[in-house]
Amino acid sequence: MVSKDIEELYEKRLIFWGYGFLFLFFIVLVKLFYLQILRHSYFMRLAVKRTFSRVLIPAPRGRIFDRRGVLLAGDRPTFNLYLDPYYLKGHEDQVLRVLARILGEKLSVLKTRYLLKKRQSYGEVLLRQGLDWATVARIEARSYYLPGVRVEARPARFYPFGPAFFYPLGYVSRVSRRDLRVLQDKGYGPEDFVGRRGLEKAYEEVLRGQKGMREVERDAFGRIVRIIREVPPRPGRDLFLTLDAYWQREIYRLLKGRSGAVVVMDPRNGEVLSLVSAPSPDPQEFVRGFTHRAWEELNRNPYKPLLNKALQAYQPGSTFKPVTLLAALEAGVVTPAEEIYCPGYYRLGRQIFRCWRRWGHGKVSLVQALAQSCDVYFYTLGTRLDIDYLAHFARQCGFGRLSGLGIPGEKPGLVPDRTWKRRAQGKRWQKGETLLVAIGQGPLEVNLMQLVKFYAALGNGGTLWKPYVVEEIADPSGKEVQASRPRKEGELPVKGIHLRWVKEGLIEAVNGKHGTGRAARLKGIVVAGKTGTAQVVRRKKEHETKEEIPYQERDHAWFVAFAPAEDPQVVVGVFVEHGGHGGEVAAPLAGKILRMYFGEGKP
Amino acid sequence: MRIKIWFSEWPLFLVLALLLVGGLLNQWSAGGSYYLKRQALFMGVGLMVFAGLSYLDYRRYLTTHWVLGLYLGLVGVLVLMALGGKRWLVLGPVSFQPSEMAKPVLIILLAYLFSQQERPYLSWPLFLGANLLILLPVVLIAVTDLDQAFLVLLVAENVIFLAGLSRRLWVGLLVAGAIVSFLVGPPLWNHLKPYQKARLLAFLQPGKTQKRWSYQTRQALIAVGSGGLWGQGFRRGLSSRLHYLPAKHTDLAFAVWAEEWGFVGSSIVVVLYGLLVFYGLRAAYLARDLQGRFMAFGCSVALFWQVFINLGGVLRILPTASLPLPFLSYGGSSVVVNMIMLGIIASVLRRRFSFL
Repeated sequence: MVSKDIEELYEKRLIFWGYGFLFLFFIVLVKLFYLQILRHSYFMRLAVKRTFSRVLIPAPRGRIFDRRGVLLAGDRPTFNLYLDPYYLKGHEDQVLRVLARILGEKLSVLKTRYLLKKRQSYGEVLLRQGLDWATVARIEARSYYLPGVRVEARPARFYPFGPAFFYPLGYVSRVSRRDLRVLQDKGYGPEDFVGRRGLEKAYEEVLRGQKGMREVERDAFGRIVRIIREVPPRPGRDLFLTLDAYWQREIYRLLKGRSGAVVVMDPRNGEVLSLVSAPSPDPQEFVRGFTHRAWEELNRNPYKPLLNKALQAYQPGSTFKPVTLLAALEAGVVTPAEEIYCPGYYRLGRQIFRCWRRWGHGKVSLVQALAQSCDVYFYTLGTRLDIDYLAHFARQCGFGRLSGLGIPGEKPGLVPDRTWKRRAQGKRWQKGETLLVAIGQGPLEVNLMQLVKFYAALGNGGTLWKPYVVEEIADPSGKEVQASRPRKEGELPVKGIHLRWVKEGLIEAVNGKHGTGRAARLKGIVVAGKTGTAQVVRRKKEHETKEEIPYQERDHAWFVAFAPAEDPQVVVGVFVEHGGHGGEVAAPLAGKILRMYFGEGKP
Repeated sequence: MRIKIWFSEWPLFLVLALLLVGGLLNQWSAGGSYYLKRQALFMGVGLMVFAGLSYLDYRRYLTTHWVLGLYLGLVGVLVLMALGGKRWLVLGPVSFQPSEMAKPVLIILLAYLFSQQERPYLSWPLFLGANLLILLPVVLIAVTDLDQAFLVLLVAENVIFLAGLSRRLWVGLLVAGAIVSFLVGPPLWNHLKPYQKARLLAFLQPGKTQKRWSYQTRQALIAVGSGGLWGQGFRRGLSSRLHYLPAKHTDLAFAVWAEEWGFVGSSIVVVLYGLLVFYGLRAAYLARDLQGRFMAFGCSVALFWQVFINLGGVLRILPTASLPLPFLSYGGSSVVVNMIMLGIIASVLRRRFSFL
C-alpha cells in the first residue's frame, strides 16, 4: 500500500492542478462575457454589415423629345466589354492580344487604353462600349481564352440626331473616379452616367430618376440567399422641348463648313425653336468614350466644336446699334429727323474713327443710319451719351447678364462702364471708348441668345420674354405633367414710338435699296433685321481682300432678323465666327432659315 | 454498497448526457442531418465503450503485457501513418485517427510505469525513460498533425509533473529548455508550414494580419460576439447558416453553439466541461492506488486541454489550433477516444472503495 506521506503529496498536487484548471476555465468565462455581453453590439454590427447588403437598381434615365414628340435622347441596350484586372493579372498581354484581334485594334493601343482606364475605374474596367452582335459572338466563343473578360448588355444613352443636337442637349458620360468623390453623396455609383452639358446637365435631377434598392442577405460566397426588402426604381421624367428636330437638323446642315450658331425663337412667348452651334461633336462619342486621338483632334479644330457659340460672348458689331439708338432717343439727344453728315470718318480730338464705308454715307437720318449701318451716325450719338447711361440702358435690354435660357455654360457677356474699367484695368474711361461701344465694338460682348431676345422685344412691341427650351416635364406614365409657361422678364425701357422708328430702320436694312441685309429679303413677307460685322483685329491695311486675311483674324458676321415685321412670328439670329461681313455671310443664311419657316422649300 | 456507488456517479453521467445532447443539437445546426446521424452513431459506439470500460477492473487487465502491447501497437500504427503521410486510417467503411488513441495509451503506459515506484519524485532514469517513450509517438504524430502532437506531449508531460520532479531536475530542465529553444527555435520556425506560422502571427499581431490570415478567427469572434446574452436561436445563427464560419462542424463548433445559444448557453457548456474535469480530478483524488490516480488525472487533463485549447482558439485566448472540442465537434475518433477516457475515469471512480 502507498505510504501516507506520498498519498498526501499527490492529493496536494491534485488540488493545485484543480485550482489551475479552475482559473483557466474562469478566464474562458470572462472572455465569453466580454465578447458576448460587453462587445455584443460591436460584433452584431460586424455580422450585420457582413451579411446584409443593399443592391441598387438603376433607374432608367428620362427621355428627351422635341416639340412634335420626336425622340432626341433615349436609352438603348448596348453591349459593353468589361475586363476584370484581378483575373487578368499575369496574363494581360495574352488576353489583350486575343481581344485586339477580335476588335481589330492594335495591341499597343488597346493596352494603353486598358492601363489608363484601369487607373480611372473601380474594379472592372470598361474597355469598349457598343459592341455589335458579331463581335459579341466572337468574344463569347473564345471565352475560354479570355479569363476575366465579360460582355454585358446595359442601357446606354442614345442620341439619334447626333451632332445637330449636341448643343441644346449636351451629353452624358460615365462618372469618373474623381467625380465620384463629390457625387457619391448624391447616390451615384461608378457605373452611372451623369449629364455633362446642356439640358442633360441642367435637368440632371429630373432626368436621372431615383434608384431602386434591394436589401439582400448574402452568404460567405457572395450569393444572394434572401431578398429582405425591395424598393422599385423610379424612372426619370421625360423632357418635351420647344425645339424642332427637323429644323435643327436642317439649320445644322446650313452651317456646314462654317463655325457659327443660329438661334430661332418665337418672339411672342420666348419659345426657342432652334438652338444650333456648329460644328458640334457627336454626343455618342462622349457616351462611348473618346480615343485619345479623336479628343486631341477635337481640341485642335480651329472651328472650336467644343464651344456653344450661341451662348459664348462676342463683340456684337452693328447688331448693337439699335440699343444705342434707343438709348439716344430715350435720352432725347437725337430725333428721327436729324441728319448727320458722314464723311467716312469721325474725328474726336486727335483720334480718327472710321466708318466701314471709307468714302462715307453723306447725310443720313435715323432710318438710313440703321439701314446702311452708318458708323459715323452712331459715333455722333456716342459723343452725346454718357457711357454709364448707355450701359445701364443696355443692361435693361437684357445684355450683360444670362439670358435665362437655363442651359449651362452660357457667358453673360460684358457691358462696359466706368466702374468696370476702373476695376478691370484701373484706368479712367476714355470718351473714345464710348464711341466704340456705340457701334458694338470695344470691350462690349454679348451672346447670340441675348441679341435674339432683344430683337424679339424690338419686334413684339417691347416685351423681353424669358427664352425657354423645355416645354414640359412629364412622368413616363404620362400622368403627371409639369408644363412651362412663357415668362415675361421685363419691358424695354422705351416709348412705343421709338420702337416704331427703330423698326422702320430695320425694315429698311433688309428691304431698302442700300440696306445691308438685303440677302435676307423674302417674297411676300416683310423681314426686319440688322447685320453686324465685328472686327476681331484692327487692320492697318484697308485693301486686303478676304482671302488674304488669316482665318483667325477675319471678322465675325452677325445677322438678327424678325418677320413678319409688323407682327413677328419668328426671330432668327445668325452668328458666323470669322465669317466676314454680316450682310454677305450671315444674312443669306437667315434668309434661308426664314424661307424655311414660312414654308418655301419646306420638305 | 452498490447503491452508494451509483449514487455518487450519477452527476458525471448527467453532465455527460447533457454534453452529448448539446453535441447532437450543434451537429444538427452546423452540419445538417448527415453529420447529425453519424455523430449520433459515434456517440452510441462511444457510450458502449464507456460502459464497457467503466465495468472493467483496470487492475486486472493492465498488466505489463497489455500495456506494452497497447503501446507497441500504437507506435506500429503511427509509424505506418507517418510513412504514408496520412492522418486517417481507413478500414473499409470506418476511418479512424490513430493519433487520438495516443492520449489514452500513453496515459495508461505512464500510469503503469509511475505506479511501479513509490517516491515523492521521479527518479532520473524513469524520467528520461518516460520522456523517450513519450517522444517516440509524439514525433510520429507531429509528421502529420502538429497540433495533436502538441496536445499529446502536453498531456503526457502533465502526468510526469504529477509524478513529481526534484528541485534539481526543475532547474536543469529550465536551463536545458532555454538553451534548446534558443538553438532550435529559429530553424523550427522556418520549418513551420505557412498556415501554422500565420496562425501564430495572427494571434500575436491581430490587427496587421486580420484581412489575410485570421479570417477564421475573425469570423469565429463575430459569431460568438453576435450571439449576445440569449443567442440568435437554434439553427438561426447568421454566421453558421450563411457559411461564414469555416470548419463550423469541427474546429469552430463552439462558435456555432455560442452564436445560437448566447452567453447563457455557452457558459452552461463551459461549466459542464468544468464539472467533467472536476469529476475526473475527484476520481484521481479519491483513487486508492497510484495507477488509478495517474490514469484518472491523465484523462481529465487530456479533456481539459482539449477544451481549453479549442475554446481558447475560438475566443482568441490562444492561437488557433485545429483540435476538436470533445463531444461538440464532429468526429468519430474524437468522440470515441474521449468516451474511452471518461470510461477510464468512471472505472477508477467505481473502484475507489474496493481493496485488493
